[in-house]
Amino acid sequence: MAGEPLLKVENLKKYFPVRRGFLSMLLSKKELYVKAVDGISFSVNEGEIFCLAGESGCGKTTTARLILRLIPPTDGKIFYKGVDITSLKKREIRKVRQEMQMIFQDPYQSLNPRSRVFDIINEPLEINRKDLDFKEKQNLVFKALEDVRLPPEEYANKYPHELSGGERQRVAIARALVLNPRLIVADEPVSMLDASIRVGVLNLLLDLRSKYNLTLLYITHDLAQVRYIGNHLAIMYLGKIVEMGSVDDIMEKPMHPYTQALLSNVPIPDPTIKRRKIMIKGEIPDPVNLPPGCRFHPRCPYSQRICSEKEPPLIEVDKNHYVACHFPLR
Amino acid sequence: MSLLEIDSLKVYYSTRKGWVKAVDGVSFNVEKGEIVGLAGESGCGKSTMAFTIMRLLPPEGRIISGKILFDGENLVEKSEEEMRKIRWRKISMIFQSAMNALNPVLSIERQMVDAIRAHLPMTREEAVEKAKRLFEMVGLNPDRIKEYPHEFSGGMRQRVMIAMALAADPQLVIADEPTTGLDVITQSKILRLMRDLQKKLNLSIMLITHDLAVIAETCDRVAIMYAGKIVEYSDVVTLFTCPRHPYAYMLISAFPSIKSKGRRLKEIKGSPPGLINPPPGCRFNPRCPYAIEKCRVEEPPYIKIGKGHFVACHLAEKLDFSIGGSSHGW
Repeated sequence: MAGEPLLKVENLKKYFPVRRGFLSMLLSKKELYVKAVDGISFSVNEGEIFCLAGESGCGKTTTARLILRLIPPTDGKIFYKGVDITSLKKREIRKVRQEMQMIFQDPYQSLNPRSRVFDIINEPLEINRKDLDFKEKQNLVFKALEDVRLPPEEYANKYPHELSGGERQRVAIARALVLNPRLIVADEPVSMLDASIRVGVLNLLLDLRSKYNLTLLYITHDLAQVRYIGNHLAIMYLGKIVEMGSVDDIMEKPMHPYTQALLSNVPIPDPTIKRRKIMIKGEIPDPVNLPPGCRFHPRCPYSQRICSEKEPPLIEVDKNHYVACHFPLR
Repeated sequence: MSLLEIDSLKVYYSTRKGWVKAVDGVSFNVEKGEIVGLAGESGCGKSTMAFTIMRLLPPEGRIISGKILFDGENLVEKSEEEMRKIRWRKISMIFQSAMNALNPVLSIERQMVDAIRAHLPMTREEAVEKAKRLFEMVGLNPDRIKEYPHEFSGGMRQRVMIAMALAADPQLVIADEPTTGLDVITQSKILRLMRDLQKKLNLSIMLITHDLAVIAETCDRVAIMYAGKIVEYSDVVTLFTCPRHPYAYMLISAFPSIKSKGRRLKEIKGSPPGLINPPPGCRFNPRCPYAIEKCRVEEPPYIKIGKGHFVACHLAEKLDFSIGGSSHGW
C-alpha cells in the first residue's frame, strides 16, 4: 500500500430522478430518486486488478460510468493520480480520459460493423494523437494487435463480422490499449463469451497487467471470475459497498451476511463438493423505497433491532478487510 | 425402457449456403425421475435438440433421420395433431426468457387459466383453483395471482413459467437455460425448486445450459455436445473427475471456480467450426492438442467405455484425464 493510489473514490453518489406520471406529480411534491450509487469510497492501487461485484442493480456499472466521467456524479469526489477529476473542465477531462479506457460487455455492439479492424483501433489515435504521422500510428495499431495476440497482417483488414466473439473482444481491448492507458475499466468483458474462449481473454488481461503494470477496475457479477483474476474486491448491495478487502480474505472468510450468502450460492463446477447453501429470503428491494438502516436487514438472517434503525458504516474489522455490518460474522 | 430415448438423430437447417448440420447423429437417453444435463457452447446444437423433441423447429429446420422414442413411441412419426396432445401434457418446456414469455398486458391469473383451459377440459373456476394450487407448489403467494408480469421479479416470473410447465402433470420437462440471466441467489433458489419438484413429482428433466457449474450441482447425468454431436455422456461425478474426451476435459478445465485459486487455466485455442462444412474426421480435431492423423480422416464412433459412460474419441482408451482432488481445483 505504498504511495498514492492511482484512483481514489470518496463518498461517491449518483441519484437518478424517477420520471413520474402527471397525476402523481400533482398529488405529491416529493421528488423520487433511484439511489444507484449512494456514498461509496475505495481506492485502487497501480498495477492491481480491483473488482467491483454484486447482483444486477447494485450500482457497479453506474460506478464505472461515473469514474470515466461518462455521467456526472450527484456528489462525491474521484481522484485520479491525486487530481479531483469531478471538477475538471471538458478539455481537461479529455486528457485524463486518454489514460483511462473502457472495455464493454458486448463485443457485438461495441465495434462499428462498417470499419475494418485497423480503423477501429486507429480511431482513438486519429482523435487524440494528431501529432503522429500515419506510419507512427500504424506502428502503434500493429503493436496493439500483437499485444492482444491477433497477428496484424491477418487481422488488420478484417471487418468485425469476420471475427468470432473472442476475437472481437480482443479488438476492443486493442482499441483500449492503443493510447497506452494506465487504467482500464472493464465492465463484464467476458460475460458474453463461451467458456472455452473466456479464459483466453482473462489470461490476456492478466498478462497485459503484468507486462505494462496496468491497473484494472473489473466489474462483474461472476465471483468465479473475481477469484481467478482479482486482487482486491468490493461487494456492492443496493448502491453501497458492504464488504471490501483482498479477494482471498473475502472468499475464505466473508464477514458480511450478504457476502456469505452470495458466495455460498455460487455454483461450483465440481459435483464432489457438497456445501450448505445459505438461503436468504426475498429478493433485492425496490431501489426507490430503500429500507431504513442497513439495506440488507429485511433479508438478513441475523438482523436485530439496531439494523433497521442505524445504517452500519464500512469499517476496518480485520487488517485491510472492511465490512459494513453491525454484527460482522467471524 | 427409458422415458426418452434418442437414437442417431439428425436435424439440419436449410440455408442459402447449404445445410447447417446442427444436430448430426445424436443418441442419448433420459430415465424416469432423473435430471440429465445437456451442456455445450453456443451453436453446438443443444437448443435444437430441445426444439426437435418438442417439434417446435422453425420452418427451415428438418429432421433428416433418427428416432425420438418417448415412452416407447416414436415422436418423429407423429402428426402435428398428435404432437399437440403430447406437447405440454407429456413433455413441457421452460424457456430462458421468462420476461418475454409472459404477455405484459394480461394478469398472470388470466394467462395461466387460458393456458390450462386450452389443454385440459376444465371450467374457469376449476382452472383458477388449479392455477392457485400451482402457485403454491412453486413457492408463490396465491394472493398475488391477479397481478401483472411487471409486478413480479425475474425469479418470480421464472417460477410462473415452471408452474405453467407443470400444469398438465407432464412426465418430462425440458428446461432451456432456465436460470441464465438471473442473479446468483435467485438462480440457486430456482434450481433448488426444480430439484424439489422433480423428486416430489418423480419428473424427468432435461436441463440445457452452457454453465457447467449449474450442471455439476443439479444433474444426475450429463451429455457434452460439440458441433452437433455428443462427445461424452456419463454420470456427473465421472464426467467431472475423469472425463475421457479431450474437449470435455478442456472445457471443464477452463471453468473458473470460487474454490480454486492460483492455478492458471488453459483456454481452448480457436473456435468451434461452422456446421455447413464441418471438418472431416473428428469435429474437434483442429482444436485438439492430442489429435493424431486418424482423427483428421475418420470420424470417431460413439462407444460405450464404462457403465453408462459413452465417448466419441479415437484416443478414449489411451488418454487419462483424472481431475484430482475436489477442493484444490483443476
